[in-house]
Amino acid sequence: MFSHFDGRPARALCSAAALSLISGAALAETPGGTVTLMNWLGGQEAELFDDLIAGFEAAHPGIEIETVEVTTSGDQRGGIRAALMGGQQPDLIVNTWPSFRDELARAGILRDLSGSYAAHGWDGLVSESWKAASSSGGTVYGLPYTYGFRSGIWYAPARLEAAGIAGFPADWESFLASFPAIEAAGYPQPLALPAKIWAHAEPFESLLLRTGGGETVSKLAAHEIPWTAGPVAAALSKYGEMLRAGCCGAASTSLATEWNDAIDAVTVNDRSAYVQEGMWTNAIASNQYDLIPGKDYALAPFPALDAGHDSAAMVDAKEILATSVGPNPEAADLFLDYLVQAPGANMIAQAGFTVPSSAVDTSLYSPLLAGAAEMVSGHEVQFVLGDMLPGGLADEYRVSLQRFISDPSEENVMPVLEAIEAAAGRAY
Amino acid sequence: MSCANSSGGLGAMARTAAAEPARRRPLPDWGAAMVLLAPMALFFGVSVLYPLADTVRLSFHELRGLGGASWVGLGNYAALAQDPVFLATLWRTLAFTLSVTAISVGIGWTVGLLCAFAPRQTAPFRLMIFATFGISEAVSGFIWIGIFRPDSSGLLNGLLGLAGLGELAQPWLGSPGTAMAALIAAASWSAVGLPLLLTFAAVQTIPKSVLEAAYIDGAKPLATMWHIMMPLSLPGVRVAVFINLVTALRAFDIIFVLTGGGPARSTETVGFFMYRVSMTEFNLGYGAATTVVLLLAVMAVSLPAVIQRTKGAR
Repeated sequence: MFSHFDGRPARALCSAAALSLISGAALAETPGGTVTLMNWLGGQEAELFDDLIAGFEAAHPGIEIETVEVTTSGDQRGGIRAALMGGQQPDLIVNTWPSFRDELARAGILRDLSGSYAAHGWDGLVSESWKAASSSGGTVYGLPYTYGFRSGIWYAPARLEAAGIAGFPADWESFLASFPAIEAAGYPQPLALPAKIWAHAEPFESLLLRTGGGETVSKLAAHEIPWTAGPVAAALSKYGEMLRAGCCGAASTSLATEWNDAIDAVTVNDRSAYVQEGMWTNAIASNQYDLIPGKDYALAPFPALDAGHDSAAMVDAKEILATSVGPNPEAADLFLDYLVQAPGANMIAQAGFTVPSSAVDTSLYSPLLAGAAEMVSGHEVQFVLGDMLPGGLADEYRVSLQRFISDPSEENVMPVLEAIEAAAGRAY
Repeated sequence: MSCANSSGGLGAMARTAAAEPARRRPLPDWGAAMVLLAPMALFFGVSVLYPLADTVRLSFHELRGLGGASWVGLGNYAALAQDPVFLATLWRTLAFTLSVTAISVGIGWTVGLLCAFAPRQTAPFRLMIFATFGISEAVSGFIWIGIFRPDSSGLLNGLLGLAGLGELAQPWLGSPGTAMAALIAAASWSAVGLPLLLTFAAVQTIPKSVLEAAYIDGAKPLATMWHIMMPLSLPGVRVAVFINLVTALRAFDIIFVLTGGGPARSTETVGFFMYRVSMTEFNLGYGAATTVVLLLAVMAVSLPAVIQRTKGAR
């Protein structure tokens, strides 16, 4: 019996076993299942995520992205914390606050992505500086997918023209001198300053960047220098100069103005010539109001102060953090990979947002968006100060600046900074 | 044997007869009450008592962000007692609560009494005023944002302009004094419907004979209102005062939407302070201590009313 055994059945069995092992391994290596994404974004940014998820799921039929929407008003971090403490275990979290990333990392919720950067080749697509911007304590936990230029001023060219101003004032003195001219042209609030909740910190942060540079901002965010330090006082003093020059009309008007009302004042309501807010202004003006960038509205860098940091740029960024509590890290990495590669990056660019990935086709940017990217690219870049501060301090910082807007005198500079410093002493 | 059987049978019958009344005996009152109350007690325990106990427990801990909790005993309460922002908030809450209650009950009571003179003709009017009670505070806040907009697009500033009083137009929510007044006006508007309804209902229960006797005695409408309708509508007004006090004391939604606690915290009440500390600063232990203080304040206001209402119950 055994003499007739030529080994073929055994080889066939072995082959079958090997094949099943290989295919089993292959199946194990193909991630599938559900990836949970915790997202708090609304409006056009939420719609962008819907498109990205649809594109990803079409490219990866075995994976489904389930979105957990955190719907808190005001500071979204409270809602995210509450959801996490309530037992949510997302694989990915959309984030924009470096201080919140630090907090999540300290709580052991985040997953080190350095292996994923190497394995998926993200190192070749995302620069070291962007990688560092998604890191806490030297460990990279997130992947930035969009960024925004925040030290720019949006303006209505027609209103400057009506005031007899040829082009956006590029230096500080001509910027200050433009306020009375714009007011005389019939705009009592030349710069719409939305100080009701938070956006009134933008000019101060740009002034701090222009006077002290990115290093000062970083040190202040980490409380390595006090709020009463010279460069900080100099920046607030400049803010006072701007307010006293009549930039923003009555303080009570600014303190009653919301961020969206300020954008409307420049874009559709014919009330102001300038507003300083983030890149969402572009999305609102072009997509919601159908205005023509460059003609109806334009963007210029914050005026130069000639203190050695005039090309420095303030940015915000949104990243997706990977968690250690989510059950599906491999599939989560595939979604991150989709965002950083050309299909996802181009979809983000087409929606009107600038993208840190080098895989993006920059010809998809509008001229205004390309200009904003140019203002960031190759320059000293600093993250928005307010988003780097611990929650309690950020609140006190904005309230103290509201008090300064009510009394922008030189004598009020140090009392305001001392109040913030006292809060900083409790916050770290 | 048969006797034995028979006696056994009788004994069994006797035992059965003795057992039957026991089976048929109805549950004592307290037992029935417990059975009927059990589902509600369970629901109350899970949804109110447990969170409340956990909040009190948390108030004795330091818990910031997503870090671990550490026992601080009465530390949070001691810090609250020394926190100038919280203390200012307490006074502001008192002023806000008393103002909203006085204005809403005052207007509601007066209008309710006046409406009682012509119930049928004033029905649509009463319905319109009471409708504000059904509008959520958040929605009400958005309505009042439209009224108080800082420029001429705001309804109030627009009306002032049309009336030739344009110089009085101002950003109502942009300075501390006017922002608090605006907030009190908005909160009172929402709260005026309940006292109106309760006053009107109380006046309807006044026996006609009393009003007729007053008429025969020559009482004028104002005297009838002052000497008869006002005193006899007091039970309804007391309920309205109690409900409006508690509602104003724990106000949050309308402040969040209308002023965000600003400018520079000038309209921040205890309810908003609690939210800011807990959800913005995520200082959960401190926020829990604030919650307990607010709860004690609400209980201090509620208990006399509850005791008084219970005394009258049979």
